[in-house]
Amino acid sequence: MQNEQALVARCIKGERLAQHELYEQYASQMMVVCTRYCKSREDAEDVLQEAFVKIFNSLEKFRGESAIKYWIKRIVINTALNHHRKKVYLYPHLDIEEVHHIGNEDVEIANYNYRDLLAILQSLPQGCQVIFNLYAIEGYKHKEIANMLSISEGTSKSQYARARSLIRDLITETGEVKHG
Amino acid sequence: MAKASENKSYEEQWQKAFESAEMPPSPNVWKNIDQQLAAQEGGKYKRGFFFYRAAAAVLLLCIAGLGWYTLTRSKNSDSIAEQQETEIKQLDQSAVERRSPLTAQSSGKNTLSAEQSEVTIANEDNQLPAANSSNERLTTDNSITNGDQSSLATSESENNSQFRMKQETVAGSNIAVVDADKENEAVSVSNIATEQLTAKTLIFPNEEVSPREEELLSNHQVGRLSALPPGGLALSKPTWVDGIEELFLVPQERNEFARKSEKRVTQFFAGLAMAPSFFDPNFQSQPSGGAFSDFALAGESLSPSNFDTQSDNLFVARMSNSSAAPSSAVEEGLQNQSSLSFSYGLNFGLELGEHWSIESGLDFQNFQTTTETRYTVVDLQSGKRYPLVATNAQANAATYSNTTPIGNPSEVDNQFQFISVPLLIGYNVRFSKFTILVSPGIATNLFLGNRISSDQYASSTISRDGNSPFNTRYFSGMISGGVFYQLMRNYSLSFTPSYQFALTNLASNSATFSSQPQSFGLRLGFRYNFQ
Repeated sequence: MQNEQALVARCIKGERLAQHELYEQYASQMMVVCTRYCKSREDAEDVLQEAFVKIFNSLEKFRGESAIKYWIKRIVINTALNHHRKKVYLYPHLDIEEVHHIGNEDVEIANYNYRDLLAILQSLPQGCQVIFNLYAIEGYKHKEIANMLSISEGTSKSQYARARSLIRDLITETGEVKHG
Repeated sequence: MAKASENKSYEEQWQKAFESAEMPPSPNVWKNIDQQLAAQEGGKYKRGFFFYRAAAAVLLLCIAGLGWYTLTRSKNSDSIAEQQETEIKQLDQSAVERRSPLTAQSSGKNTLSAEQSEVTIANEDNQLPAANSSNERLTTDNSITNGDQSSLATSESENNSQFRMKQETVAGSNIAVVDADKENEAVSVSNIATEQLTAKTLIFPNEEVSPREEELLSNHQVGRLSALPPGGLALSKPTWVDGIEELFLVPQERNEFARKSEKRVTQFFAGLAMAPSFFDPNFQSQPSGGAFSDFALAGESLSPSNFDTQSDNLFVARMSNSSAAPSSAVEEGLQNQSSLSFSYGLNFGLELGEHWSIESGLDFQNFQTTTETRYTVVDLQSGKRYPLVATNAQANAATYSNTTPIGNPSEVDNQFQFISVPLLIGYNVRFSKFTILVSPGIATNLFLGNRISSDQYASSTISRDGNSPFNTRYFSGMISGGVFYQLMRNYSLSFTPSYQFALTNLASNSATFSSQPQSFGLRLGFRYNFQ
């Protein structure tokens, strides 16, 4: 923990070696986060780059109230959302009522590795992909997502329901996951 | 396919799957981050460096000017000293020619011995009256001796230059002040001198006096000059000069300076100035714009709810030559907030008489403003995304096609660069070392470029080419006023606030906006006055 604080302090001073060290420490994990929100590896790398520049520029604002990993992750997610905000079409494709019919038919995903799951996520429409990530993986509530994306809670719920439905279809129809 | 585990919720399964997932990015990512950070740091240092460089340049000019002034002054002093030395030598020579073989012995001494020789001759002249024009200085001494009670400074005025010459030469030899330490050494020599003819003369420390000369000088009251620190102006009163209250060195320059001041009618000046400034491009929407109106934002409202939900490529603004598309000119970035900017200038001019002056120069103006935009454009060739504002929309119309909205307005930095050539008529009122100036005028402003940048996106620059919505130049009126403070003879510092307002439009006819820039600067300058 002390090492981490020292590393952050050196990064704030603008020491490039320290910045590189911090980057090396978290880049691989954050690359996965970026990939979850993006359609391609190139897009994900763009987001990662943009996010780390923001991180280094605003590291002074990090107060140490949470672990640096979560602070970095939050910036990465925000960057990804901003990056794709213009491409995200957040229209309800399902009525709120339809959401209730989906829940119990989910498939087991424990047997899939994260690369398979990334491929599934990347194949989702952008809006579904973002909301599924935020709700299922990051753990945000629909209300929070609605506030974050300036959409209604109902839209968030319906997009999530659609995402689950599409994932189920993808897995059950093909029996295997196509790698992206 | 297995159904989802009842023990673990669906979401938990996903979270677990990505819990420790890692995927190394390509090495290029860090390389790009490194470059981006370096560019940002470079920008910071560059801005700072630019300021310090300007300050250093002004300081350098001060030092160089001061050095030049000192050297010039030193040369003048040297030339005066040389001139004096020459004159003294000439006097020496003429004295030697008229002198008896006795005094010729002293001709090999330093130039200051001329004085002594002249005294000798003068006394001889007194003994053997004959017209001798070289006894001016002796006359002074004699006149004092003969009861003329005016001060030496007064009597000096009669043979001013000679006296000064002597004193300055003395100063040059670190022998500055008269001190009669041998005033009572007068010896009566019956065959030469009488009490009435007793004269006074000065000899210098360590100056050798030959026995014969000593004999000749013995009817004088002799004061030996003593070495004192240089720079002492007041001369201690020789006790043997009863009528002299005080002796002063009268700097020769004082009179010359006074004469120069009287003569000063026209005067060139040149200087450097730096002005913290605020600039407002004063953009106004002008929907009746020409060709650029073809580049329009499609749709009245650009909120995300209007987006085509089925399309991944969102073109909310596009090149549209179709009359079917609703056409509204880009109005992003028209409202600009002034930021602290700096301009740097060389100026020169001419003082015309007591009150009037005319001034011109060359100013490099680097103005900064900030604005906002809700749109970006993508260069399809490079893939770079740029902030879209009204000023770069025209250029973008030719190059870019993919325009997309941003969720939150993004701050955009606008940098405008001009070279300005002012022409000012000034009215000056002088109070001692202060001069108050009011100067109206006009300026031609040459547009160099407009750089549009943002922290989040790439930067674009509008230069003086065909796609530019700006004219290559515009004219402005100026009003400037301020105060100058004279430092030494030739230098002055200035503080002159100035206001500049456009007389013509900076934006070209084809632009969808007009621009009547105005700026306000606090000019801090340094000026050298040639005389």
